[in-house]
Amino acid sequence: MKRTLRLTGRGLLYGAIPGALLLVWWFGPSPKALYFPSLKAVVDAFKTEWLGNGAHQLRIDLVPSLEHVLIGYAIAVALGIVLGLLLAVVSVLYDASLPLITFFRGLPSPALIPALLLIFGLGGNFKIAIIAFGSLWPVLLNAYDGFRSIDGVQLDTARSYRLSRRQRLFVVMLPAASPQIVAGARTALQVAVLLMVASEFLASTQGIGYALNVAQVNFDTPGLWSGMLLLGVVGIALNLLFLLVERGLMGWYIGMRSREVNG
Amino acid sequence: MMSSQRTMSSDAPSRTQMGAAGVMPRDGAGVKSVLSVRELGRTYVDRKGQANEAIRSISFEVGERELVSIVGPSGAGKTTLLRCLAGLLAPTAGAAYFEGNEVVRSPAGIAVVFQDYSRSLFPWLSVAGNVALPLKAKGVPKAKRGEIVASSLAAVGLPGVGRRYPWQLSGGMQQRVAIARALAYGPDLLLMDEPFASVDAQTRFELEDLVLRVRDEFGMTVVFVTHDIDEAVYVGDRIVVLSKSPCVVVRDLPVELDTPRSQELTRSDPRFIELRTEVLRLVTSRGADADPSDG
Repeated sequence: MKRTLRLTGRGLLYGAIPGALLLVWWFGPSPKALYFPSLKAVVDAFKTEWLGNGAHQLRIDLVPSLEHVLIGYAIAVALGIVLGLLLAVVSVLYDASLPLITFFRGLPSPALIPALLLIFGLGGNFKIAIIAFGSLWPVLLNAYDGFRSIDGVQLDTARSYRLSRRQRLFVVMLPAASPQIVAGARTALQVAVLLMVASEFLASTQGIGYALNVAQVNFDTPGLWSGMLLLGVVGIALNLLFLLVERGLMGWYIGMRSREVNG
Repeated sequence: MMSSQRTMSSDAPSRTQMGAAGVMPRDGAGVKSVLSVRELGRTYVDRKGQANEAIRSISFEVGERELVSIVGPSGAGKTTLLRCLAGLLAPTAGAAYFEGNEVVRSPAGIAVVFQDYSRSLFPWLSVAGNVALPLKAKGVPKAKRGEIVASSLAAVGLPGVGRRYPWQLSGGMQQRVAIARALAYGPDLLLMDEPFASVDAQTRFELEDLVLRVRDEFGMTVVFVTHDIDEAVYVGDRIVVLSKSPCVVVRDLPVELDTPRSQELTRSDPRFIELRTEVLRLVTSRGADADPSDG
């Protein structure tokens, strides 16, 4: 009972500011406001543009966007872990490639869009490439760090119990580095979504970013805002998915950490 | 039951009647030598090319089913020595021989219990997963693994914690799990590196008795590295006293105390007190009266 009350209180606290803003947005703007339509107009636009006609537009724009971001992101995570491991194990390789890594990670990924466009053309591959490239760095650098900082006692234990190479990699090294890999992957997810929108915005004939661009050019402000609403929903959904996967894989780490914090 | 896992060891003779285990010849004569350390030295070279000698020259023998304590002042190079014995670190002079073969890499038949259990147990594996890992590496079939894991955990007094994670257990329990893992591996030689340095005194006593008990039960040879003189005397059949770094063997002493040991009786035995005073003198001496040839 007390707990329910506390939870309700907390829910009210979290909901207060967004709720108030939504109310202001719903009733505030005049129906004729051109640049800042009311929430009601935005929701109407969302219904007709995205959900109308059996969610036709949603399928046309959202599905390829999600496809690109998920494939590009998956490539970045896989490649980041493999390269991070390679650089951590072969230190000569790290020294040799450090200048290159420093250059590319410092380069704002959207700046590569024109160049990659020339290489891959306007299709989906271009978007996958730019997403993979941009989100690779956080994973790679974190994975490198994670593999480099594995506790020597853990490696000694693995060696003295004569674990095979494969076991050492999958049972010891990968889990040991996983907290940092996951941290890198979290950052990379933000980058991936950003690049998804940016690539569609600049060079595309479909996708949410493209729809936003079209709406803007046509002064369809409710449509523009409805696109942003959709992006927000996509962002939240992807983050929730990430959390779900993290819980599944990193249950031990979350448990251990909460134990350390609580003494 | 437990003996079944030891079928992989080269030979498993029945426990020879040694009477009071403490009154064994110090050079291991008459007993098969399990570990033989011959003029082993280890020098580190740092980045500036400066040589840092951790171990000068160490020689000693460990006979079958013997428990040899290695005691020395902090920073004497004990951990370096143990890593050399385990094959985790290559000596720069001399060598260690395990069952007649020079120790290179980590030989089968040697298990190590590290000081820092919180670092040597893998937190992403359950207790059972940790104990089963060396068995997996050995290729023991799954059904058999479960059996050995259960009996090893039972042997250290922790039945039924297999599904929990190591970090859900107390420090003493975690070190018991580390010992269970070593037992499951079925080693001929168990190396222990200050295994009880980070548990409280009460738990420490319990764990010392546990080591003595499983040593008898499993018929293992044990090298027990510690900086705690009382502990070295209490658990040891023999004590190898090391000097400060770069370390040499100051003295190789037999421990002539009744077995089985008892925390109350042994520790109040005048011979115990005499011996620990002697070891204390040796450890704290600057090595002036050390006789390297004594090793």
